[in-house]
Amino acid sequence: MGILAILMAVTLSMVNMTTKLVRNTSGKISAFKESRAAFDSLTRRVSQSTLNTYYDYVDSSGKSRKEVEDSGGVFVPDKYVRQSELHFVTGQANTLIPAAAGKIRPSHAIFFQAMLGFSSLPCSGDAQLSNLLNAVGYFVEYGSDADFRPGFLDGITPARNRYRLMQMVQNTETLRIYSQALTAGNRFEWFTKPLEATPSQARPVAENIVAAVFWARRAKEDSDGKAPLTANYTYDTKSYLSGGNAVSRNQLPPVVEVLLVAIDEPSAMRLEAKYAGTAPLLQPGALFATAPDPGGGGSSPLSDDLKKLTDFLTAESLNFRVFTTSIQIRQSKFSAD
Amino acid sequence: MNSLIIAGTKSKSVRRNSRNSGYSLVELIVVIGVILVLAALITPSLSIMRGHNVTAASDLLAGQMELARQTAVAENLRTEFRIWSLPSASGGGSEWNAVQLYRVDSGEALGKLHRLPAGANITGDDKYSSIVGTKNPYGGNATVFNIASCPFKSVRFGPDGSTELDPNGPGGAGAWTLTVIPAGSSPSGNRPAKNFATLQVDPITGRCITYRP
Repeated sequence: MGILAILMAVTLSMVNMTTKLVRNTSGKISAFKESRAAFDSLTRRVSQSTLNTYYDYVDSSGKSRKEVEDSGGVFVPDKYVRQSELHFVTGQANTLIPAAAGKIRPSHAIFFQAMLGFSSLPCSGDAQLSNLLNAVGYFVEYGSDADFRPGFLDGITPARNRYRLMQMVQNTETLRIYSQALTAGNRFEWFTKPLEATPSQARPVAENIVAAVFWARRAKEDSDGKAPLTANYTYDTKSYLSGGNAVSRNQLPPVVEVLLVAIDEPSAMRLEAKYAGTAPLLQPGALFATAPDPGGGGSSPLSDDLKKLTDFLTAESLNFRVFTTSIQIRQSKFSAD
Repeated sequence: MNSLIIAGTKSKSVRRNSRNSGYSLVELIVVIGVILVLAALITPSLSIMRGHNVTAASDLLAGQMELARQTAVAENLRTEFRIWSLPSASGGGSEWNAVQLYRVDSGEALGKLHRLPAGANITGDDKYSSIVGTKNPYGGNATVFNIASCPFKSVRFGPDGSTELDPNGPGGAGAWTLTVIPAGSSPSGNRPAKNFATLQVDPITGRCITYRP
């Protein structure tokens, strides 16, 4: 009987160990698959961003003919400048997007227009209009999945709080960028209003993304001795409306550096159990607030912040992976003149 | 003296015969104990096997859906994730139990037809599986495995990874889902079955996520 018990105990422990090994291995393989797919999708779409610029006259105060005539004035052309109705903006997510109850939005957000051909009207056959213009945005959000999971699961499976990479896509029919004249005060409404609407136009593309960084910069060959495009990761092609950076006026940055930090699901469960969304380094503004100056020398704030974050994740025994790439914006014809 | 020896020999012989004629009480208790232990080990593993079928079926569906999406993105074409309703392996009626990928432009199959494990199938209830429900306009009847007029329902993926499903959900609200249940099980209360796996497809991002109770 004793020998039988020992044999069974040994067999059970071997089965248990094998099961754990298989589970851990398959978990590691599948854990970052979704993050990788989301990263690929994000980088592809950012590279497709467009401003569709053209040149037109403005008066001495920088106002267009329409702006002047709409306010009852007489338009006196003064300069011939680059114009666009479209908008490309990156920056801190919690400053670009209005706060919402139960949501934490750490690190950065990016919003732009691209020709993705997305329409809410069901198309079939060859009626695909792949060059339709859409508005797109990405940001990281911590919150519950109760808003976007199937309703019948309520009461069966508990809602999960996770950090997620969210994507906003506005279909062509509801594109808001042309719906109003952009002014300094309302220039972000084309994406803030849809995000505030119920249901929100933001959807999760990947779970367990704890940080997203979007850094608009010059090409390396063009950065020597020149001021960086942004000191705080904010790059806004309409900031000139409020007296901001004139270099970014209606022009796409040549390169956008993208960095995503993903953790796996077991790590996310441990993080949730310990901090429930209150981890200090995963709060808005805690990291990635100061952009690097490629020409300035010294250590890079981006690398320093990334090290702080990865050190924290390592100290908490969380399994993580960092995805990073430099995206060449195809339609950028950057000129500092 | 002789008589004593003979008596002793007889006595040993009698004891040996009685030992060979059956099992002792201790031996019986040990055997019954082993049988009980084995039964205790096997009973939960039967339900684990049923759960394993559901897991294997949902993993197969999620994997094929991701493959359809990735193929659409990587090869810049429209792909179709098609779910077939075929006669069940147990000889019963038809049930949603097979999946295959196709190109939309040429109709060419992009891989072999995969049957779900025999112990699991997709529930046809609109509430839990809207993708095979009446509100999904993509579907029809076709011949597969030399069986004419097999019903199918589809999810089509575009080169940007999004689907052609109504972005607002089936009928303008709700989620696009597929729910795998153990074969022969029925809804219990507000849930599709005691054990199930629900796959949700985001029509815009093409992301597939699995929920388990």
